[in-house]
Amino acid sequence: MTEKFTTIDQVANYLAKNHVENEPGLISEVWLFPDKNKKEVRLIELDRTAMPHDNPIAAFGFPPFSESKIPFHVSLAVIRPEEKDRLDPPVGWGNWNQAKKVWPS
Amino acid sequence: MNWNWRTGLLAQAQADYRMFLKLKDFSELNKQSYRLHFLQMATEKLAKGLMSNGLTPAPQTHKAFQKFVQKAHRHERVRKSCGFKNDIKGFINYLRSIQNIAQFIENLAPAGLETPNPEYPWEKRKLVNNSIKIEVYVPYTYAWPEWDVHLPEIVKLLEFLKCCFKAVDQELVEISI
Repeated sequence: MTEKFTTIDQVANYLAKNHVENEPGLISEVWLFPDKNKKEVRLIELDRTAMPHDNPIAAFGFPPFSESKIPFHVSLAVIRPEEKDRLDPPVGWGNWNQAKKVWPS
Repeated sequence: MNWNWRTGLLAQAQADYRMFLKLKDFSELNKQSYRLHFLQMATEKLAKGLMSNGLTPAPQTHKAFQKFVQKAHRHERVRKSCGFKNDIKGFINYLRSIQNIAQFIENLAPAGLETPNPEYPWEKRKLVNNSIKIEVYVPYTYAWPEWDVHLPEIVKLLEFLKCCFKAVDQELVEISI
């Protein structure tokens, strides 16, 4: 069993790198939103082939599962780059100014 | 309700999809193999239903979802539900970006002794010291590294399914009125 991650930042950096490598040329930016309870990894990725979204953005949530090295709940949304300036983050995630860009770092 | 082959497949696909969604709410059932099993069944029936004329049974094959994803841009109700009403090129690009994961889901149907699937154990044969060693894998205990739920293409696939089932809901409501 691979060692589990221990912090949200570790997971966010790992996922961002992994996703960009898996979808070369599609993902231009990955943003991490804060969770004050430090239980959830909240990511929004900008992908030019994404589906158009309504406001606010809706993320898909994945609970941790026993086989994974990620012990956190992960919520992920994939939006178009041009939507970043007009769509609000999912409810409860704060605003874009509170987010940290994890890719490109 | 008078079912035909199309609506019958779509209704059962909807039921399988609900189970797929519901399983993640139960930590004791939060095993990848359970969810993958329902996802494979839901997508196969969804594809067969949406490609059916309602009059004849669907072909007796598990292979349907990949073909549907390749042609989904022609399905007006699905295209509209996905937000690509007048943007066929954009929808084709979207569908291309989920082709690999759609293929993976389709290949989860049990097919032979050596195919990883969420339903039956399978085996792998390895040559070790000039002799063949057989390893048997059990879906329930297998880690399913191929299904990395945090990949964006999986999120995109799940968004696609959500929109497809929204279109299915509308179709089933319309015929029940």
